[in-house]
Amino acid sequence: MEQRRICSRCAMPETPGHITLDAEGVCNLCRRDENVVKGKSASFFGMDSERKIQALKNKLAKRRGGGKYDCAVAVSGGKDSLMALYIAKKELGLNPLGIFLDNGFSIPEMYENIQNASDILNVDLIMFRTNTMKNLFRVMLESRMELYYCRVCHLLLDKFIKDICLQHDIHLILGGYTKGQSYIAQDELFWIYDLSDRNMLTLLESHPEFADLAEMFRNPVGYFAKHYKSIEQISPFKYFDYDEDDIIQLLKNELKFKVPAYSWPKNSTNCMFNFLAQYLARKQFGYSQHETEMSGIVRSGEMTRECALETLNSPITRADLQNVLNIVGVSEEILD
Amino acid sequence: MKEKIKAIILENTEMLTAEELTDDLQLITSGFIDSFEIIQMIDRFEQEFHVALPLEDIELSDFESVNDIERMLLAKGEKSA
Repeated sequence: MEQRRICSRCAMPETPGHITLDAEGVCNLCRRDENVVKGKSASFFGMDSERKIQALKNKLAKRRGGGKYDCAVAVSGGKDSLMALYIAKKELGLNPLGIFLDNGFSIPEMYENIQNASDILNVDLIMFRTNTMKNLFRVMLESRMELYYCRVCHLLLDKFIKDICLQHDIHLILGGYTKGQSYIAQDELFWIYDLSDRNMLTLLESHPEFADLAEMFRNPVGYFAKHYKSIEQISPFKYFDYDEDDIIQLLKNELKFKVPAYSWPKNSTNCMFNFLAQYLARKQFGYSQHETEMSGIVRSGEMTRECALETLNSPITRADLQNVLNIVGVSEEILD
Repeated sequence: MKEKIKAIILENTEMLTAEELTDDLQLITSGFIDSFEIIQMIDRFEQEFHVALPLEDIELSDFESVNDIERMLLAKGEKSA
């Protein structure tokens, strides 16, 4: 893959039409945030932590239902979602229902992490394994179309989790995504979502077995608003100051958390498919949510650029890709 | 019109004060509101300004600022007139 210029401040690669670098090698996203920091526009992220936590408490009070569970926490077995579960139970004093959606690509340590957290925190847990992603990814890969696999998976996970919430009369979901993963605010990903969603619709036209998903890809925001209007999804990490090392240490000490031995990016994922999703996203779009997430954290001053680049430059080998393709049941010829 | 838009935004978010909510404040990219809050506000905008805002036509960029919301509502109003 050709070497591309990287922003001199964050980790965003130059991407024609979307990420531009100026004469100083600084990207348009860093320049945009510079304006926010300088006070041209206020930002929630710049507010003091006391006010942010009060805002979260107000929100929780508004959404707390009358059923057995105060909220759901979507857990993947990774550090962020387990920390969200920990915050819900221990710091916010809620009675959460853990929901583990196994997309078929969970990394082995995740199962143990989730069971330990459920036992130690004394939190009820629903484990739901679906083959939908595997079957859909097979069709997507064979099509060789420009599709963003993480986008498709996240939409499906959202749908399945919200279906379970409706069954249990839960109206608040605490997501484990970190500040950098607050996709709604990352408009640099929107063009990738739009292109991928349009291509998904074209693909689904010739696959009637997935016809029920077309409505979701036609207009994801409208789809979720129509079918799950009463369910709010928030990330506690938007409100709490985030320090990745402290979180991992706390989870290791209190929840017997295990960092995955084999994953991409190293130490920070729960999904085996990430190897292939990242490889294809870089090839087809230039960057993915990982570059935007880490760059956002670098801009907020919570991670060094060097650390972000080291993580993003973790190698993805042909053998890694073959492993994933074997799980899906697709020949490696699709990589050529 | 802008004052009514601001009142609806303030009803639906815990993050902002009236002083902070300027006409060009970036609501989404600056983290003040998210898609759930936008969906909650749509019914109120429809009632207050007598326009139809079908969910399938939602563009998040139309809700980025008070100015954007006003522009979108005026355009919808002209279409339905």
